[in-house]
Amino acid sequence: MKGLGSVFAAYLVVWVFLFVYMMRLDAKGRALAREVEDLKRELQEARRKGGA
Amino acid sequence: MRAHRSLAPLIWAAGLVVAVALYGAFLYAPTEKTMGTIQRIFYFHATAGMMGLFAFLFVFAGSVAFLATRNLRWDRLAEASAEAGLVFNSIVLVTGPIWAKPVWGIWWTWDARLTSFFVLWFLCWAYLLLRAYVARPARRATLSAVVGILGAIDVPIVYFSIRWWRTQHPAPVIGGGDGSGLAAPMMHAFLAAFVGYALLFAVFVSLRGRLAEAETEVDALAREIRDEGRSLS
Repeated sequence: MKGLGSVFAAYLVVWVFLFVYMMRLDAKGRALAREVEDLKRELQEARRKGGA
Repeated sequence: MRAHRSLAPLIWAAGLVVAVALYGAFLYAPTEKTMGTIQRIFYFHATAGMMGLFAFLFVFAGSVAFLATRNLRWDRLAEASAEAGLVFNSIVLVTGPIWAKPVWGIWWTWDARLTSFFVLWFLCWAYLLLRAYVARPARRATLSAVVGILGAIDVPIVYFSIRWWRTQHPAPVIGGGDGSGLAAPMMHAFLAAFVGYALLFAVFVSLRGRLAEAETEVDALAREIRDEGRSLS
């Protein structure tokens, strides 16, 4: 089975790249969802102060 | 992936087809006579290259559509495609040398295909870096659309490089004329890998597109808060 190490290394690279990118998208999605919620709260607060 | 439940069927389909492709590449397809086991890299290397080219065609299409309509949805499609394309192009540029070293005896050479593909990878970076440094959305979209359209010139060069110039990279095994082609089980494994990657590309572009929409929402909310603050003071 000559070259098995190279095949393993290549497929490892493929899955690491795909997995890391997927995780990065997920993490960014969560961070943005939190940011949207925080900003919405902040906006409500600012409007309440403006109305008071 | 809680925030992206609607994409669950697509993610599951991608996972399933990729699993089938792995079975095809390692167990179903026979060992190639000349190269042996190392040829199995081909199934996920060549198909990643094809996805990288398709991704930049999406960048091109999104860029043209944005300039024609000024609708930022097209800009978001181009951005998402460039980012996903960068992932696939990076896979190609790392798995290629891993295959080349035992087969050619060298990790890399500046032959026509490798060089033009390296330029494509660099163009993806340039496109995304440009976006990171231009703050105003409309200006960013216009400038990056121009880069996206000009950069797409490299796509046919990459595709035809192994047809126009016979240098180090192997000749095309699919659509390469007489003597090219794959044995049926190899072709099945190749097609499964291609479909798996295509589904993953769709997942990436959908997820990245939604992030871009969320970023737009964040900008709009931040603007509203600033306006509220100004009207108070």
